[in-house]
Amino acid sequence: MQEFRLEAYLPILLMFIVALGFAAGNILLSQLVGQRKQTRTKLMPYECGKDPVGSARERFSVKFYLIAMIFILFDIEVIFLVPWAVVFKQLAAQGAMMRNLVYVEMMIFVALLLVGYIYVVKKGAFDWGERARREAEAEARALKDMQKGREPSTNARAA
Amino acid sequence: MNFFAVALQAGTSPDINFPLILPEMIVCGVAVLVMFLDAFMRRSQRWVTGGLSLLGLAAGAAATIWLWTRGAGSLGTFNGMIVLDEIRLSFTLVVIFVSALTVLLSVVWVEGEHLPAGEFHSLLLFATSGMMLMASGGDLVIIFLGLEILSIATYVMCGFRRTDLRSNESSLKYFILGSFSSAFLLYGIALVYGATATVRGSGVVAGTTNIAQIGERVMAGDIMYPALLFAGAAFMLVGFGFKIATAPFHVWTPDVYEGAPTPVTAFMAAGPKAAGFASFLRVFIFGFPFVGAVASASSATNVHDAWLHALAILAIITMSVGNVAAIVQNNVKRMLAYSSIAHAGYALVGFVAAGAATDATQRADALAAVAFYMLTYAVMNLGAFAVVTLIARQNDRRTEVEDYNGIGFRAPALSFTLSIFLLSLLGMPLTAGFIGKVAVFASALNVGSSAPAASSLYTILVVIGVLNTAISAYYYLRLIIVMFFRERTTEWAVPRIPASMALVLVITILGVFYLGLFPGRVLDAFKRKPASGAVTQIAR
Amino acid sequence: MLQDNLLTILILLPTVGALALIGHGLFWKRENDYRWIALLFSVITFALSLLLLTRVGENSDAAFRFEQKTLWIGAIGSYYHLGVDGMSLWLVILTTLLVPVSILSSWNSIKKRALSFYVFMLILESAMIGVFVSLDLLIFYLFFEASLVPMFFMIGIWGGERRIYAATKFFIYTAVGSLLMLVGIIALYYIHQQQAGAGTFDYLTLLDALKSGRVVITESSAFWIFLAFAFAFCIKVPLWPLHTWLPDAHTEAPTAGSVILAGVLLKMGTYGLLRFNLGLMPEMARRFAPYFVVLAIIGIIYGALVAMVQPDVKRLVAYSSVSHMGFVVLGIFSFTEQGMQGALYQMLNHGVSTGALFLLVGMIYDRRHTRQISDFGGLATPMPWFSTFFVIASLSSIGLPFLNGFVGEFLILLGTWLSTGFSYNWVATMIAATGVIWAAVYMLWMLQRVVFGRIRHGENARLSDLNAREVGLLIPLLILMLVMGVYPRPFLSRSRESVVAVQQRVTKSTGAAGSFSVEVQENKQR
Repeated sequence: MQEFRLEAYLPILLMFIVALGFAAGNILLSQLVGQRKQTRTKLMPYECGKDPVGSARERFSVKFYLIAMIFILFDIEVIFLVPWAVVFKQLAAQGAMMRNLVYVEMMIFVALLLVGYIYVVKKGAFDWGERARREAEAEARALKDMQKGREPSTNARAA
Repeated sequence: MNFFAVALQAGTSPDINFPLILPEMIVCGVAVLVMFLDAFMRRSQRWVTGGLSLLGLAAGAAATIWLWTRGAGSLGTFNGMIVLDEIRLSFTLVVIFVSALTVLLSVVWVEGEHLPAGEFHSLLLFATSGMMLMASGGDLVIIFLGLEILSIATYVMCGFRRTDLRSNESSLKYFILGSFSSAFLLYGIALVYGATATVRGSGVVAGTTNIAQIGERVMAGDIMYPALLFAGAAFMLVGFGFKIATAPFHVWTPDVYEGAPTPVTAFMAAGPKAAGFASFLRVFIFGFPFVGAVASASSATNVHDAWLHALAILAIITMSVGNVAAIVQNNVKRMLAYSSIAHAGYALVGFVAAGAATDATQRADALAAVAFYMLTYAVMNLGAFAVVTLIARQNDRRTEVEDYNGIGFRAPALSFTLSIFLLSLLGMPLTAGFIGKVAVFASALNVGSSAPAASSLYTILVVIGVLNTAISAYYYLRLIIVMFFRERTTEWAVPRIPASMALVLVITILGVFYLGLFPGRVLDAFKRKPASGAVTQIAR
Repeated sequence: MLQDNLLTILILLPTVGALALIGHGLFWKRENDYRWIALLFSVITFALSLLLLTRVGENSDAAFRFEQKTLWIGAIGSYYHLGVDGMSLWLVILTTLLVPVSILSSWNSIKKRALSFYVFMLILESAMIGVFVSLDLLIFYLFFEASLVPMFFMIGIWGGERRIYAATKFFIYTAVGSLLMLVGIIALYYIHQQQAGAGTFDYLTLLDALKSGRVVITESSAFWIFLAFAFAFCIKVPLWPLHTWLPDAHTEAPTAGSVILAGVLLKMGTYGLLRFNLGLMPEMARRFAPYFVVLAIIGIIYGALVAMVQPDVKRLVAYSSVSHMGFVVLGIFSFTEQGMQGALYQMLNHGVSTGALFLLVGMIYDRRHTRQISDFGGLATPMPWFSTFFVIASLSSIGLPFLNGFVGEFLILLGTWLSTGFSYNWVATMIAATGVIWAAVYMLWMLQRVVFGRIRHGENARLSDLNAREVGLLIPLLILMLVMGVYPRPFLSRSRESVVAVQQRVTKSTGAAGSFSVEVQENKQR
């Protein structure tokens, strides 16, 4: 049994800091850089992407399933990194050939993930569609008009 | 057994030989490339992905031939997970051939149906790499991996015509039943792994999924749980039986084949069946080998006898069910689906012969016969489906037998080529189908003649096969009769034959006659052992 | 050069003709040329086939001539091995003769899809020649089966009302039989492999091995293999009770198809029995002889009786084939030189006479579009030429002396009488001989109702007589009938040694009764 040393837990502390920083940083960044387009949908109380008022028996957009599936795919693939990382040191100790091999293999794996990601992006899986965007923009305009006290130019409720 | 785990335990330099999996790597890499390119491609450039796929498959075939003639230094790598032998190479070539023809078959079809070509081609290539892994896997795990890669890609391809209900049904059915059978296979693998644990020296050695090691342990007769071995073998038999569509595990076939887009049906009937046979053969013939007079009533003889007899009965049922059910079909794709079941039955005759072979030559002959049968079946089947695709038009509308009424002299080229394929499927001399049948039946009679005690079993098997051929004449001829001997009463426009389709038809027709008239070269090649040892020149 | 490759040329030439036809059809599409091209190729084939006579001379021995042997499939051990002996010689020539005749007969009657018709006809000719000259069992099987497909199409596309039924029945019947034969062929291969080291499909090698006793087929194997072969051939012959495909196929086929069917395809069966069943498994042949004789006699009588009551002329001729082919089988299984020679001769006779009858029936069908006997009567007045030919052909079919049928049937009956292969041979002879009488009854009765008497239907009075083409294509057959009836020597002397070789093989093979061979010797001296 090894003696308890606080230094040994330094990586965990660092991990916490990085995680916090990543989360906070992202929020901050989007606050600073992101465009603000206030639509009625966006101003609604958040309820998992659906209207908080009305019938609960509503159909989800198929996009949600797609996103969920893609998430699971990438998530699971990333899990494969963990066992690799666990044994990497031991394998690497077996000599340069093994080390290179194991390293290159994982890099290929990551590259393949990247290809998959690019493919998904280019195929428009994250694209909520031209129509949805146009509707959202129209809604934002309508909202702005309303704030200025005029009648809405179009009836642009998000479908 | 995990390769890295082995490496960790052994602590020696790893057993890695990348050239040995060159064909698989090429096809897989091209599949990724096709997928990647497809993301950046405009719709008008779909022939690029098709062309690239063809190039990739050609490179894969070249690599396979290179492996065969020059060798890659050893006959196995990754601790026996990948093997290099004539079964792998011949089946790999068959599978690549099927995929290449399917690409050609689909180029125009995807266009006409407004489907994403790049996705189709990459899925096809992924499926091909899965099939190649099935043929090259020397370990149950690799075989399962290949099977899953193949299956998932095929499930999607079946449902590729998203807006068509039949296609959806086909995909869903295939998915559910296919997963079910994969589970059977996996469970069988697990049981075999458990069963093959053995006592060595003072300790218990864990089981194995390596086929060669299973074979050794079964032969040695010192496995710990023989009963589990039987159960495992039985489960695997069901799993593989499903993939190659043997009766009574065939019920998915007609529905799936009918609903799937025709080029996909063509692919499924020829490719996955061949790959399924490759791994089925390897697992059962090398995993549960015949031990002749060794060790009376050992578990080895028992398990071998058990699967051999089970397969012999399956072969009989498969041939009969396939042929008899095909007679009453009114849909051409459904009829060809049942005929594909029947053909799996004929090939099983060769399988049984390979299993019962008492010496290496006989076994090599029988294995080559099965591979050759798969090749001939692929050629004539793809040809027939090419014509069916052309006649079906968009959305697979015209696939009923009545749609073929009297088209014989309206479109003589198409009808005569289809007739040639049908006659070849029937096994008429001068065509590939004849030599294929002769090869498998001859191997069965060969085994029968050298094992007088059981000779009647093999003779009966062959006679039933032959009688089934006669039954099959009825439904193959029916289509010919409908095409030529009836007159058409309704309007019918002759379909235009696009260049890629014409190429498919020319290749398959030439193939049918080449394999039917000069099968010697191919048969000999399929029997040839790959060059082992260092990269050496083969003496010619 | 020509002589050495003669058989290959004979097989390939019609196929080349077929390809030429297709090429012509693709590029020129001139309907009227097709028949000329087909005729040209078939006539050249016929002329070349006559060259076979140069090496198979009179009294030549039983060896095969024009032999060719090249490895075909090394992996299976099958050779492309061809050869001709006295037994196959005349069958080849009969084939090459009947094809141009039937092409001529379709000159005007095949209007629709003429291109395909002639292509199938020429492909069929290749296959038929191949059957008679192949000396490798696998090649033989190949041609045997290959001949099915074109005939199937010919019946199905150009046939009569019930053509689909007839074509399917024809195909499936014959395919079932021949597929079983395939099993037998492969079994022989492995029996040879077991005992002699290497498997073979080669007929001569097998025959040698069996003769010398290097390879012995066990009794049970021989039993099944013999049955497998016999089943295939008996369907083809067709022997009663496997004959039911024949009346349908013959009746529904177009004229040319019927001629080829009756003239050549049926002979494949009897030729196969003679060559393979008797040659390879003589003991079994002896054992089965009584059964074959009984079936043959039933076929003779049954065919004749059924023919008698047919209202359709073509169907009548078809049933008469059953009867005549019964004679051939009877002759083969008499195991005497006379009987077997007669059988071979009768094969040729049947090809010529029945072929002519079918041609004649086709000619009146072209004019009247009916084949019902009751629709005719008194044709002698408007159609003297036709009637003359019809009467002569019918008489030849009956077996009138001085016409070919007599020689064959007489030899067969003589052979059966002398036979010792089965008991009660004289009873068999007597019953079979009544078949000749029955033949006279149905043929003459038919003639009386069709050709003679008053004209009962007005249309018949205006029928035009045969034109020059029709007379021209019948003349060779007519001459053959007369020549074969009067001077059979050139035919019989060429086939004699080959037939005797088979006969000796059957009678002298191990276990033959001593008295049997003595009897044969006596026969030879006579």
